Amino acid sequence: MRYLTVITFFPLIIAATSLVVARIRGTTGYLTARMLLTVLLCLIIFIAVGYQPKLDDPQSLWMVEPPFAIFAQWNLNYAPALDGISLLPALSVIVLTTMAFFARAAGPISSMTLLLASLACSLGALFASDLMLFIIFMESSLSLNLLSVALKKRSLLPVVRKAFITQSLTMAPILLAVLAIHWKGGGAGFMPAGIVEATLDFSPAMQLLLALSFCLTLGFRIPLVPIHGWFMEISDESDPASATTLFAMVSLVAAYGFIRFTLPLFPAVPPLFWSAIGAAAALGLLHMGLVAYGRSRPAQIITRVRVAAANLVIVGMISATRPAVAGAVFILVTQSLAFAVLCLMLDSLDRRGNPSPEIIAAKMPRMATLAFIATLGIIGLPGTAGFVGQILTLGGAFRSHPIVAALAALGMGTLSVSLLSLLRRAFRRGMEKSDESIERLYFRELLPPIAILTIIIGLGIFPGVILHRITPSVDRLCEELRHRRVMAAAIEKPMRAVEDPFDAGAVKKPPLLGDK
Amino acid sequence: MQIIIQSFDFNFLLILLLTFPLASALLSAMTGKSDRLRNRLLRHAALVGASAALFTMGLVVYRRFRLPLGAMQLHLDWGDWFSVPPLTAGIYLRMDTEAGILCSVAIAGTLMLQIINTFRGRDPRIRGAINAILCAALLFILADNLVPVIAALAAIGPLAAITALKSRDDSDYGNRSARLLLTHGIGNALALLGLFLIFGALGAMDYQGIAREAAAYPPSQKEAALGIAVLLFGVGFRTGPGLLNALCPSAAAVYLAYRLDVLVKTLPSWVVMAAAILMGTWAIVNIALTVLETAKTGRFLPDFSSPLHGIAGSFFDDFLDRVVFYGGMDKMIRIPQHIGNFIASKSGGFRGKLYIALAGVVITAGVYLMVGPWRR
Repeated sequence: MRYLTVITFFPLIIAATSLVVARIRGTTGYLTARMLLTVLLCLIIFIAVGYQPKLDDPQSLWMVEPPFAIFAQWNLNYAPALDGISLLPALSVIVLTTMAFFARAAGPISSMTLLLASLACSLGALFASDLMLFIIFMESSLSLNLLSVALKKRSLLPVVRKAFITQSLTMAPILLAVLAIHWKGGGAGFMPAGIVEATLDFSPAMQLLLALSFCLTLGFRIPLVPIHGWFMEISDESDPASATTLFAMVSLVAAYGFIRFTLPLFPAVPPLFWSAIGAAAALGLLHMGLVAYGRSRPAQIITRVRVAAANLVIVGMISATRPAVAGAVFILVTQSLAFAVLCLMLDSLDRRGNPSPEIIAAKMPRMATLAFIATLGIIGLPGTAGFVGQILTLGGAFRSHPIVAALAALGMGTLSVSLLSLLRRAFRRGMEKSDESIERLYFRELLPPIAILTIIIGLGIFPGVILHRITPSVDRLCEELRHRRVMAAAIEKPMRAVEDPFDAGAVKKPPLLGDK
Repeated sequence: MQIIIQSFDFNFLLILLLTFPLASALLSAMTGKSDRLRNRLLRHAALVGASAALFTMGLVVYRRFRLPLGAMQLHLDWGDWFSVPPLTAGIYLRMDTEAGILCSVAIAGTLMLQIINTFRGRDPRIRGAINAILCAALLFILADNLVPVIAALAAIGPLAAITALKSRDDSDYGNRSARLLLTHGIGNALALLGLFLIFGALGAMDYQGIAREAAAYPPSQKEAALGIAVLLFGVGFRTGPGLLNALCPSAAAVYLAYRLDVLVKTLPSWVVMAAAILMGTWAIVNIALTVLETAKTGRFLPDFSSPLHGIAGSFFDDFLDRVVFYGGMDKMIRIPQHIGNFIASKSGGFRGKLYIALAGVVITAGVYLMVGPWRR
């Protein structure tokens, strides 16, 4: 049972050997094929692992493999684990990397190698049950991905350098927070069980400070709207495949960290704080919708829609109700699929000199039709996977945070308007007499988008295939979250009582859950 | 013959009822514009499919009257579409008398439209959209859960925009289509908000669950009442220039109000009062507009929609509140639209819309007239 370790490190080894072989022999085509095969192999193994019956069992939160110590002195163990919540982001990351390799503009061999290494780190972060390792993997993934972008397009170097500096600055809060937990908790280690026990003893003010640190770091990577500038700069300038993989590997992993670590670790944080984060995400969604409306290039609009989708996921997660969390995880995977289609489309257009939407409609009707279906999937037309994810997220969020959910729904509305206005431009005739000739779309370019669109529609009609896998884990997570909040409230009350000089009764901590 | 008819299972008939329009939609979408043999065959096959839906409906009606217990309901349980409790969306189709009448009207109307479209030689893809709208409308009528109802409404938006897009080269049609998409989008957002309000208040999405929870719901809390008001407003909001776009919303809102009767009754009296006042105001505005229009064109074109709603409601005491409520909502939506159309003579036009609104109201009132005596 070391599948997860193999999947994590396999791409890394292949990447390293490919780089060496490329240096010695310079056979790029062969190596590209090999990397593609590696990713596909990961996908196949992963699907096989994901269908282990153990994941359906609500009693087993994690399917943990035997750990091996990385740095015993620090109690740092790599224990790869998988549950319904990490399953889908991991699947999305692999699928999107496959798409990036399919796209011809994958770039020089060094860039591709780094992309493969970044994939390995993303998977490592998604499988890590240890908080410190999660951070190390996440940061490595982001750094490698940024390097890959810079290697592919040298003109992006200043933007990437700026992103590196911001990354380093925003990494500090989470690192400090984790070290504070470790030391203040008396060497609690970084495994969730130890940390949870340690953080329960912290005062609400301390927990608020730590939660803020986590939100700052993860918010930069998701990216949440006030701190999203770096992603816009890189996405607008880089090629579609790079932007998509960057988004997949960084945003999905950070969103996963948000739900897996940030929410359960700080149960005493006042609900108002989470509501504020949710409101910021909802306002960000609205803002992105409005900004996207003012853009004209398809790639720019899609970048903003991506950020908006990430913000919608956060809205679902902070509400912490079962439908909302399940919907948020569902959106993570379905939006990624829709973006993969658009990435492939944009890549095909990129190679044809980025014609305007009107020319696409006149000269490439098949591409326009496929893009139309993918866009409807993002908007959430019934019958596509987007509808199920959105109705679960917004419906679930509405029960706990009605105003945030209403704002998010409004944001989705504005987003739909901007996407539909793009489609309207793409479907309006009148450019047929244009003399501009465009290379026709080949079957091999159409095949992957059609396959993914089939999945999107299939998941819209039979969403149970995925929901069935994630629901037990989501149930368990929400139940734990609720339980920890109750415990934190129970601890907080006697602590207040002690401050009363006339009642110096002993503070008794209620028993913890015996899990993990 | 009798044996053949009896051999059809009700569940099977319900599946057929949804399948035929969908098949017709696909066939129409595949049909090209030219007069090739393939296109001609596909064109006729699509018409046969639409007729088959009507025939199936006929079978259902025939069976219903042949049954010893005529009030029997048909129902089909396909299980959950998706479920993360408590938010569960099931595909439970249910046909009672009211649903049966609306289904018959929708199927027959769509068949007529298709025949007209075929003989006028319009783009076959528009017929595909019309059939797909029919399929969504049938789902709307037969579904027993608010999520498929909203899903059907949301699907109708883009399809209706396609039907309005009679020519892609004509910018007027393009603008009309975009406007329709926007109206449907706002309507959908409102309906979705209403759905969430109801779910937030009652924790149920299916009609039976809503009825059960509403009985235990404290009357002092008004979220559910607000939810149903917003939901009905959202459903009725989407009036458009075309025939289908004007017909469907009115019938849909009244039907939904009927289905969620238990919630409509929780509406505060001032809402009903306000709706009634609005209705009266509209009647006066309408008379003034009609006089102006008559003076301008020399033709008398009255709008009977307000009185008809009242007349229809007066037949049935328990329907009166919601008919008045819906009527008021309807008028509130249409006042700016009609005035705007009158001043600017925009697409759809005052006159065109008047006939359509009249036809919609006649059909809606007809449903009440036919349903009421049977219910008694």
